Amino acid sequence: MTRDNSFAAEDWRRINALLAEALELAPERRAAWLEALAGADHRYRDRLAALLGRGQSEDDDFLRRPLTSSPLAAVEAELDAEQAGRTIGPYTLLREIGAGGMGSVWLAQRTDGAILRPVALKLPRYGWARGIAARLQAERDSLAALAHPHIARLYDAGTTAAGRPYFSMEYVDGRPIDEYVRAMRLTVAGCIELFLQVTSAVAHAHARLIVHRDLKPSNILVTPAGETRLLDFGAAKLLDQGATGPSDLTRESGRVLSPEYAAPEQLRDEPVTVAADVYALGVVLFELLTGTRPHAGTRNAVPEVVPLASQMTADRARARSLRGDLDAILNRALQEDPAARYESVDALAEDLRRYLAGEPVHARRVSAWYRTWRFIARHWVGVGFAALAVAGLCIGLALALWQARVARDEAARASRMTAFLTSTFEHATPRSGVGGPVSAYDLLVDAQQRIDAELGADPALAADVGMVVGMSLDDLGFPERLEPLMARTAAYASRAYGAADLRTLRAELLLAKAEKYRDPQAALLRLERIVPLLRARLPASDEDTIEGLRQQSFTLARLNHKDTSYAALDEAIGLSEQRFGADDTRTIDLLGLRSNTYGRFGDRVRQLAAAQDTLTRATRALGSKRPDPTLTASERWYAQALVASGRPGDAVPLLRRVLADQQSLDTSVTLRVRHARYELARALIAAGQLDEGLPLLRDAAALEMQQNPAETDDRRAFADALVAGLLAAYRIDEAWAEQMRAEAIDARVGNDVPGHALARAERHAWLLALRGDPGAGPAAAALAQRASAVDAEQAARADLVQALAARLQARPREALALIVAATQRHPLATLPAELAAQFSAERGLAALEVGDPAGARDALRACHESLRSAQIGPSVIASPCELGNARLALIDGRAGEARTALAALAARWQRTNPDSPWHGEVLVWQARATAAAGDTEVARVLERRGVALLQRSRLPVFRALAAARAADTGTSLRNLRAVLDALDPPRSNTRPQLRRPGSSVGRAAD
Amino acid sequence: MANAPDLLTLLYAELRKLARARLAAGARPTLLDTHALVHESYLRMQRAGQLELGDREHFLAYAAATMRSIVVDFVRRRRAQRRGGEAARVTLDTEVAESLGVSDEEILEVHDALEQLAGIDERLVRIVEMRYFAGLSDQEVAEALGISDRTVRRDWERARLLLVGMLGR
Repeated sequence: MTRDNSFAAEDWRRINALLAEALELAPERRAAWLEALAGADHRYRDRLAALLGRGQSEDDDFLRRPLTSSPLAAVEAELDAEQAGRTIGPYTLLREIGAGGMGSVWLAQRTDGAILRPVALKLPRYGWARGIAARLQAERDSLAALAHPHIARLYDAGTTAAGRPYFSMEYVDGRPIDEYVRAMRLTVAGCIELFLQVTSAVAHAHARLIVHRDLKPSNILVTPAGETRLLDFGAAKLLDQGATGPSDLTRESGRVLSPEYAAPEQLRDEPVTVAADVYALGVVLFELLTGTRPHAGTRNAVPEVVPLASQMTADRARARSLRGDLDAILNRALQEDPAARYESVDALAEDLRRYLAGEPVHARRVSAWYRTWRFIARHWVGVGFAALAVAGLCIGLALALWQARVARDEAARASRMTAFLTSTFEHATPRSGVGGPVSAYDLLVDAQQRIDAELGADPALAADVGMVVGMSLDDLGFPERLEPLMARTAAYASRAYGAADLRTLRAELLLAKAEKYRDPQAALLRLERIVPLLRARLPASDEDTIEGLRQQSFTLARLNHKDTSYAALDEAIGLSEQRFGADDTRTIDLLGLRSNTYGRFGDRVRQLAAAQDTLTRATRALGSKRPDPTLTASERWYAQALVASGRPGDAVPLLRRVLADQQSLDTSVTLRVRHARYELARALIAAGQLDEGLPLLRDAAALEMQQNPAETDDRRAFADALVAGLLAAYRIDEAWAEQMRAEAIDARVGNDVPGHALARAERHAWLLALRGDPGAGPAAAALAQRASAVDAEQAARADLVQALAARLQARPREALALIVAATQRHPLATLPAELAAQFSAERGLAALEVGDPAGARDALRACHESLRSAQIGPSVIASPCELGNARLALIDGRAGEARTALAALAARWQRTNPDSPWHGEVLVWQARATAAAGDTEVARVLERRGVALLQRSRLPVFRALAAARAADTGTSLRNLRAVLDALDPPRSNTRPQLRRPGSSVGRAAD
Repeated sequence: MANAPDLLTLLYAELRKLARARLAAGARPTLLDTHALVHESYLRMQRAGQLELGDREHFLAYAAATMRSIVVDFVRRRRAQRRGGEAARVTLDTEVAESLGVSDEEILEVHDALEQLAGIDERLVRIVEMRYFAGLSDQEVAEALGISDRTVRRDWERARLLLVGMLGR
């Protein structure tokens, strides 16, 4: 029919009206109606007849369909071309191997014979949208690169000349997995093992950011050899129409291909993530194990409750074996909420493996919110911010997870969240202090500051972002930043969700964790309020309850409540063992805390035992996964216990490994790395390796001051360790300076840890003694009094200081009396080995001074033994003992032996602390031994040096030694006078006694 | 309700932007998935706060009209390109692909016919726009125009037949 221009507008108007009328009638009535057309209408009759007739015709397709997405007539014709021998793209069809509503699959071969291997050619019946070719091009490469033994290779994807898409894939000779399982009558274990092949394939694809979206038994074939092959990876995505849009709410999933296996979010056309594949795998496994699908029938309205596999199984024996663990695993995979499912296919596979191995299965209703944010926090702010690409990926993942849980109309909020988090990368300003141009710390600080400014109007969002940032700061170990942030976050959470909501409780928990450094009482009150609330929500809140108890134990320990601290920790351990297993990282972590807590309260024996147990468990569970944070931590705890039990030598190699592992785990200097350095330095010093240990400790202390400006326990511990280390090296002036600094801090901030105050006072007294301050003795005596009621070991140390002070004041008889009395009060066997060594050394030296070599010999032998069992290696720490022994050798006439020993000792002093008067002491005795061995020239040189050093000291015992030695070598009267003048009468209690040159060994006056 | 002409301008700009983005992604000038485009632009505008509640139905009607003008635009430009010697660059695939289904000629003819139809029965034009150019379903059209979907189907059939008659198909 040609275009008819004979009708004008008003004609068509009339035709329109008439048509309306005619179409109201049933078709068979229309003929009559046409006949009845009268008057002016009559001339339209032919046209009307033609049109109505046309309308009836089945063939008429003009304007039938919209301009989009429909198979058109010519396309239908193309489909007829699907016959053997026809070509599709570069392939020739051989025979049809499958057909369905979706399309057909043919066995085909390359037409040009370039490759003889036949392929499976999949010809979908839909998806002929324009632009498909372009999309195929873009996606094909990533899909074709997917190579895995259990994935059918995609060789090629393209379109024919007519625009029809095709896929050429590896031809797999196999059966769908459900058929296979049925036919082979596989057991539960057999099914699962087969299924694990599938999970490995899917996980491989997920790692390359490819989601299958259409997992179902017909896409999982099993070859006769029992190998699985997955088909159609990403095909659903490729064929998706209109999925190139930039909008995040555009239908990403497109049409749902198999509703029985599709995840709820797919059915709702929401964005699809790996969680959808987890769901589909859950359905498949369910079907393999029970023979039915979880939601039989239509799935327009997905029911809230996932049915239990064991209840859907007809076979009683099978049902029995599914009950419990497998029920839980399937349940977890099939959760309505994507974030409540296994977070990855690997996690699902892991649980299945645990099931097969008879280990406790982890499938359980862990609180999704915490898990999600924990995951984000752990991966988003990695330690050491190398690539923003990684961060970008995690942001994307975070957004996907977030979106999956959040209803559609909150997606805008999710975009804001993402925008906010992304902007922290772009706009953070670098701060000084932490290494690197823009560090994780800088970014977090920036984010923290902007939360109030930018998100304050949306308390829920501010709370959520605050949680993420807070957890990251916590992970990196910046408690002073954390506290104000968490205070605000908890307030936001309370406003947004209510005071008793689990999210608010979590924020408060993190707040308490940060708060306890500054105000343990307040933290404790908070925890005492929160923990019962958390306990009431078990089992959903198990992780949080355990964390709360852990913090409670920690805080109680800080406040010196020993029994309640132990009790809280024991409860936490019990809960953890119950929920997560005895070898779980979380349980191991708590056990480590327990050994540390024992240590804190001085319970050394239990500390060592607990630490050993912890390390055993950790090695068993994680030994193959080095470096692993929990394994490293367990080694550190054990090393700490060793040091506390007086075995620093054993601890040092362990701590070296801990530091190395920690540095490879954390690529920037985190709290844990700082602590590892500190522990190693302390152990080195305790073992006498001062040359290495002291510089390491200095650096660690300096870094700690820088990174941890708040006056926390950690910083105090560093300061103490530094003082102790310097003392060990006899660097008295430096030690004094550090001590003064530390005491100033205590004065400013307060120190209400009683044990600590005693220890600090003891070090103070020690320093006084070494400086020759006459107040040393009385201070030590007072300290001994105070300590005797509280801490026997501390009292023993105080007694020791008293004796030392007396000896250094050149009052050896008094010193000897004091040390003998002290030994009676504190038998050596009850003291730690290094303290016993010091006791014996003092006794030995005092005995020598009063002229009792026999007594000295016994004491010095005991000292030597103690040093060995304390694992204190050759160092200046051992100097008193070695000096004493060398002097004994001299008395016995073994000058050569004495000379060698003293030379070695002097060399050590030269290295560690060359200007110390103690060095001078050693040199003087070395001179004497050298002279006795016949080498007077060298002796003179040595003596001159020694005396010069001794004269710098204010200590009477050294001044006297200098004077005596000078007098003993027979110098002239002139020298004597010089010596007399050099003595410092007011300070010393001794009056120098002139002796005639040549008289016996100078004995300091009593 | 927002001012109709302004909305249209906004909408047109929005749709053109989207369409351009789509084309940029693909390699050839092809027809667009109009249905998705319309929905997407609706959602964008709603999120941007440019629509009030209840505007959706009106929106769809306007969107359809706009789609029509966009599609016609493209088609005209494409024809011009081809005539202008760009034909050589068009590969065999493109030509064959595009000769499938609705030809450019048909689209333009329908467009012209609709211009005529506008003077005869306005509502029919809306229905054709919404069904043919925007790809909306009967239900959606019905909601948009405030009529029953049975009416939509009947009207659509009538419109189709009228166009058949006008175009001499």
